[in-house]
Amino acid sequence: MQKEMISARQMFCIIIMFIFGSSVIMGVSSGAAQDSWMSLLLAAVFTVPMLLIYARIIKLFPEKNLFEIIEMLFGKIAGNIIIILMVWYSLHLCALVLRNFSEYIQIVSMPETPQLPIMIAMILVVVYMAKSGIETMGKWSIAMLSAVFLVVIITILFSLNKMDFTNILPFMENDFKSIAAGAFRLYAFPFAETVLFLCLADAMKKKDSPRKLYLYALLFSTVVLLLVILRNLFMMGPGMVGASYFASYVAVKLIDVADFFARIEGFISMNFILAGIIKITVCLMAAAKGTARLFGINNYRKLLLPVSLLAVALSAIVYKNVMEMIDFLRFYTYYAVPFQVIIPLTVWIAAEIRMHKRKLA
Amino acid sequence: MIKKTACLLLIILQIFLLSGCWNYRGLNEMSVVIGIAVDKAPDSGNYQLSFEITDISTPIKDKGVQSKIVESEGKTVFDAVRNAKKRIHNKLYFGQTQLVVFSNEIAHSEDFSGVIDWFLRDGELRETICVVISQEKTAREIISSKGIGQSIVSNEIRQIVETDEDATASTSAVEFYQVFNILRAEGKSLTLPEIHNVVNNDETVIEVNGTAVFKENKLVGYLTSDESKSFLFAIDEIKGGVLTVSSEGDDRDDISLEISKNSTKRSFDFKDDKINVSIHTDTTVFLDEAMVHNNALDDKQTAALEDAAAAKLENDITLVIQRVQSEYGSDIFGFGNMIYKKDFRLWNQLKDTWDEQFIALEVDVSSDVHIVNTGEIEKS
Amino acid sequence: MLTTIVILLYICVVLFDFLPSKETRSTKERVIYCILLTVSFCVLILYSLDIKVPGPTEPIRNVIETLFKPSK
Repeated sequence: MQKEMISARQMFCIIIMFIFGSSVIMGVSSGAAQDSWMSLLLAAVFTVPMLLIYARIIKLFPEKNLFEIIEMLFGKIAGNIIIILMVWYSLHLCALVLRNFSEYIQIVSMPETPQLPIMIAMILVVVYMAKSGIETMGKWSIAMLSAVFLVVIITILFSLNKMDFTNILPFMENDFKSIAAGAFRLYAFPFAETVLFLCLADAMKKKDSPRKLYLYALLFSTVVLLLVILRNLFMMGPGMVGASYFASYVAVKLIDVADFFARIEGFISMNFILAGIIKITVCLMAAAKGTARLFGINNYRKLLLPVSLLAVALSAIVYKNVMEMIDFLRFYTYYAVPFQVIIPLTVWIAAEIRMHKRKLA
Repeated sequence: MIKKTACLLLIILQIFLLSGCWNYRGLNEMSVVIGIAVDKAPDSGNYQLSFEITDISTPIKDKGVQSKIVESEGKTVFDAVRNAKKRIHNKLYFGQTQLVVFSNEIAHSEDFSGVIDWFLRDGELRETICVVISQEKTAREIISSKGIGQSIVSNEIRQIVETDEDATASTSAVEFYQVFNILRAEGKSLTLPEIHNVVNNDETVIEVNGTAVFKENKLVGYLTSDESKSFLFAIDEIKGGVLTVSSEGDDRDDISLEISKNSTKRSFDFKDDKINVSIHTDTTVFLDEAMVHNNALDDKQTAALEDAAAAKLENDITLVIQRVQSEYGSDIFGFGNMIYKKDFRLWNQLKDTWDEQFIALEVDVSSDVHIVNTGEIEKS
Repeated sequence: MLTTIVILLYICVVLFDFLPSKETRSTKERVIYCILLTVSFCVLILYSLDIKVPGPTEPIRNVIETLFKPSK
């Protein structure tokens, strides 16, 4: 089978869409009220060293994905354990995002529809996308990123008349500790989740610099997320932002230009679905690739459907209710550390040692 | 072969999938609620809700959209909403709701943030609904009266309230999400428009009648329409309205100035454990009516008139602040919030005793008024 | 209703994804495919019948709560 390859620009768009995923709609919760924009900037700074490590791993083993690298470095047994962990993480993340979706749809638009059909409809689209391959996904994200970006800009422009810019005052009311705590939360969700792109790295061309790619994507998505945070804050004030589950949705609901241009919150749902599909697809692809590697199957596409159904099953039982979903964000920061930091770090150190040895020899 | 079967099956499946949502509701199956009035039954303590719904059974062609009232009662607000189903076969639809009226009884005696909870929590209602307080005995009387310009009175009330600050400046409109924010904000109290019934051309109609003042979660009193105007000056929300002054310096106002633009600057300083707040208003007006003979205004006369108007404005604003301080003791001007936003460390010291501090607060008011034109007439 | 949807979904998956490519798959692939499918099928059927299946959130939370003290 011919290997799929995508261009740097497509990868860039996929990474950005992935970071937007659920955060554009969840309104990036950090718990630091009007100072959450500082948390966001701080989180972006925290993310840079981690991204450099991810990029370095990709650079050291061009056109290989994380699972292949792990197997190469740690051998069969230790390698398989790490692979299982990564597969679990991507599967779990896939389920979490899927659940975010169905909860959102149930709360804001279809309270009487059970969540399962919504999840199934969603995952079938995702499987179709994943089966079409990463190239299709890359082309699709280039087109859709502009749509997502346009929606953000439009909602900001039309909400200008209702914005109260003093909502951002007072500065630094929260001490540095709580801002940093918020920053770590944002670091774990969504920034460092980009670790999953290591699993898709075999589609990247050798000549493209992964470091540049990662950093530009981080910059772009930070700027857009900052705009989103500030829009929500200026529109609603810190109290309402903290109180709503889906802050962006509520903020856009308030838009009303001369009784004529109103009720455009459907746009936000569109954003969520477009970016969310990419996020779920990436998670699913990573999970399927990992499973395929684990059992020595060459073509991961054959496993997409059963793995995706596993994700649906997991997301159906993962939370009891929406309160638990929001509460879990608190624990997610800790839970994600092994997958986002420890495993990549180990892989990186092992890789550097191996490279060094090879140079000596 | 299998592919063909699959396609056929998929096409057949579409029939079921594309025919509608899981639980679809047609327009004929829902009653569109435009306004809600919330009252409390005096004896049982139940909530009594009245919904103004559009009446789609009468022909719209001759008379426009007519409305009907549905009443219901329940232990909580949502209980009452669902109990309405006992009287009307359609489920009520709240996506188009424009207005919620609370009776002053409820605002007086109950935790207001509790009463409004359902309205914010329910996904169908919008956060931009207009909230008003009824000055009549019940809120129901407000939405069951007749609208003059529109047959649906809830729509009319909303439009009156929303355009009020541009034209008459007799109340300050607050949307639902802002109510939520203000009730949780530091150093700021809630105000809501208040509505009462008046007789107009032998029919009972509604009229906006100033501003209801809250302290924490409860209604404590009212500002009249004139006081509301001064209040709007103090919080920099005024966009229009009329300022009347006397040309002679007596009680009889005979000159009307139309407010075209205003900006209010507020600041505070903290000295010797005392807070001083100063308010400076800068207003541009048009002279629109002079009920006395005068010649074309020269510089001196203009200046004199401007000074008289400024003095009156200063006096009015000071009076309303003093009245709120002495009678209600509720910081509706958001002075505490101003301190919080500019210097939250200072605010943290003051926060606990702010109620007393606010009452003793010294406020300096200074005003500037500029007359920029005198209408179409040069002299009279 | 939900149970019907789940069963229909799995019938479709088996009919249109599993069976057509039977020849191209190795035995190992087929076994893994079936295991994954069965696991998710069981969970979804139980879920659709309103039988509580323990989720992973609770244990993760307990572990983290004993190891760290996450701030509110």
